[in-house]
Amino acid sequence: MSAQELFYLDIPSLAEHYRKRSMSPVEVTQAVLDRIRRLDPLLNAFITVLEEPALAQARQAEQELRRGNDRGLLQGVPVSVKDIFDTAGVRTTAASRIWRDRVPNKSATAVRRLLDAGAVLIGKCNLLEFAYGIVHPDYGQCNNPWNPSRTSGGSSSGSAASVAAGMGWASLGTDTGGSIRLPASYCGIVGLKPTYGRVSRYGVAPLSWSLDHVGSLTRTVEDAAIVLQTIAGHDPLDFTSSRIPVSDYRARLREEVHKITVGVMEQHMDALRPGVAEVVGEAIRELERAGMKIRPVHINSLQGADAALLLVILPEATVVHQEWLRKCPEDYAEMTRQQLEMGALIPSVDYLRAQQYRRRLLKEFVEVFREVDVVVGPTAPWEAPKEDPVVAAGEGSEEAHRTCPFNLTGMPAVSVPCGFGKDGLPIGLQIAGLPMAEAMVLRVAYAYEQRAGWFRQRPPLQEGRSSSGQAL
Amino acid sequence: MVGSVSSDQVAALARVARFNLGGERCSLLAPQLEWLLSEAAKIESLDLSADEPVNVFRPGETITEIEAEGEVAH
Repeated sequence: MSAQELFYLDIPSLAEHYRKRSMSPVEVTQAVLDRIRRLDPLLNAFITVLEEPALAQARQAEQELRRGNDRGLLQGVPVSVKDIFDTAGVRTTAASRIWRDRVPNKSATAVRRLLDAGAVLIGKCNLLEFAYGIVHPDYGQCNNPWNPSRTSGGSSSGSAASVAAGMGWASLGTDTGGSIRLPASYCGIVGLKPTYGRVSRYGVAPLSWSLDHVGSLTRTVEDAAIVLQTIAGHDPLDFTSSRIPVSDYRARLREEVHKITVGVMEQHMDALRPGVAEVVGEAIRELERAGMKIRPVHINSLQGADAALLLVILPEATVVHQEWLRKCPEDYAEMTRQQLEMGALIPSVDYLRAQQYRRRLLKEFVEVFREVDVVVGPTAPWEAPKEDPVVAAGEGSEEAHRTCPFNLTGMPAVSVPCGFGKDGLPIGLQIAGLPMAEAMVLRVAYAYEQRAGWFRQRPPLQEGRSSSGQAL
Repeated sequence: MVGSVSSDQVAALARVARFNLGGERCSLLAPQLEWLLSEAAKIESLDLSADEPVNVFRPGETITEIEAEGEVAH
C-alpha cells in the first residue's frame, strides 16, 4: 500500500488493519505526524501538534489491542480537534491573542469521549478567532488543500483542511452558522452538524449559546457515523444536552432508501455562482436514480433567516466576550472587535423577535417534513473563496444563507461532496432532517456518497510538493 | 430605525450598553448598524405575535410542544 492510500483509508479499513496486525497504531501515528510536518507549512491547519502525547496514546492503543482490550473502531486512530475544545494540560487558544497561553485543566466532554474510545489526539486545529468568522493575524489563514491560494473555509478551517489533506481521520468542529458544513464543502469532505443538544458542548468556548453545535469533519459518511456514535449522548455537564436515546447510526446507514422522499429547497437554488446549480442539480438527479422521490419544498418565512442569525449571534457573542472587549479590545482581530462592538448595539426587541422567528421557522419545517424525509440543496453558493467573508456583512450572510436555517432550528444537517465547480474546487450537497433524525440524514448521505463516489477524489498534494509546484 | 444611522447615535447606543466607544469606532460601526437594522426589518415584517421566543433551545421538545398545541396543520 502506498503512503497516499494509507492516509486516505476509511476508519473501518484502518481498524481492520490494526486487528489483523498488518498496520500498527504507532507506525500510522508516526506517519501522520511526518505528513503534518511536510504539509502543514503550506496549509497552516494546526496550531498545536501533540507529537509525544500522540505517540504515547498510540502505544497504549497498540498494547491494549494486543491484549484483546478492544475499545472499538476509533482505537489507535489519529484524530484532531478544533482549538476551541478544551484539552486537559494542553494549550487551548481559540486562535486568539486573549487565550494564547491558556491551559485548561479539564477536557471537553466530546474530546474525553474520543480519548475514552482510544482515539489518538494528534493536534489542535486552526480556526477563525473564537469561531467568529475572522482570521487572527497571530495565527494566519488556513489554506485549502485543493488550492492553497484559497481559504479552507471557516470557522473549523484547520479541521477541514487537515482531514482533506490526509492529516488524520477525523476532526471535531463547531458550527454556529455553518462553520462545519462550509469548510467541509470547500475542502470536499463530509461535515456533520448534529441536532442541537445531541452532542455535549461542555468545555467548548461558546460563541452563541443558542446556536452553537459540536460535530465532525471526516472523509466519508460512515466515518461521520462512527464519530457521532462516540461523542453523542446526554452529558450532565451541559444543561442543553438531550436525554433522547442515541441511535445506532452506522448500522442504519445501509437501510433501503427507495421509500424516502427528498424535498429540494428551491429557495436555496437561487443566487448561486456559475456551475454550482448544475453540480447540485446532478446530485439531486443521482438521489432520484437511487430510487428516492424528489419534490420541491417552500418555507414561507425563510427570507428572515439571515437576519435572525445575526440578531442572535451578535449580542450573544458580545455577552460572552464583554469583559475582554472592555479590558483588551485591541487583542482581537479588527473585524472580530467590530462584530463584538456591534453586538452591544442590537436592540433587545430585535433579539427577541429573532428568537420568536426561530420558533416560527421550526414550525414551518415541521409542516414541510410531513411530506418529505429530508431536505437538500447546496451547502454554499460558491467554491472556496480567497478569504473568509466577514460574518456581519452582506457576503458573510450570503455565505451562511443555506446553512444558518439549520442552526436557527437546531436540525441536523450534513454536507457531502457532490462534484467540482468551474474553478476546479469542491462543491457540497447539504442534507438536513428533523431534530434527532441523524440516522435518516446520514442514510441519504451514505446512499448518495456510495453512488457518486466523490469521496475517492483527493487533493493534488504530492509528497514534498504542492499542486502548484511549491516545495513543502 | 428610520433614516441613516449617525456615529452620534452609535455612541449613544453604546453608552446605554455600558460600552465606551470612541468617535472613530462609532464612525466605523454606523454604516454596519444601518445595514443590520435594515436586515432586521425583514423579520419585523413577519407577523410573529403567536410565536413565543426561544430562550433555551431544545428542538426535540419544541416540536413536541408545537404538535401538542395543534399549531401544525394536519
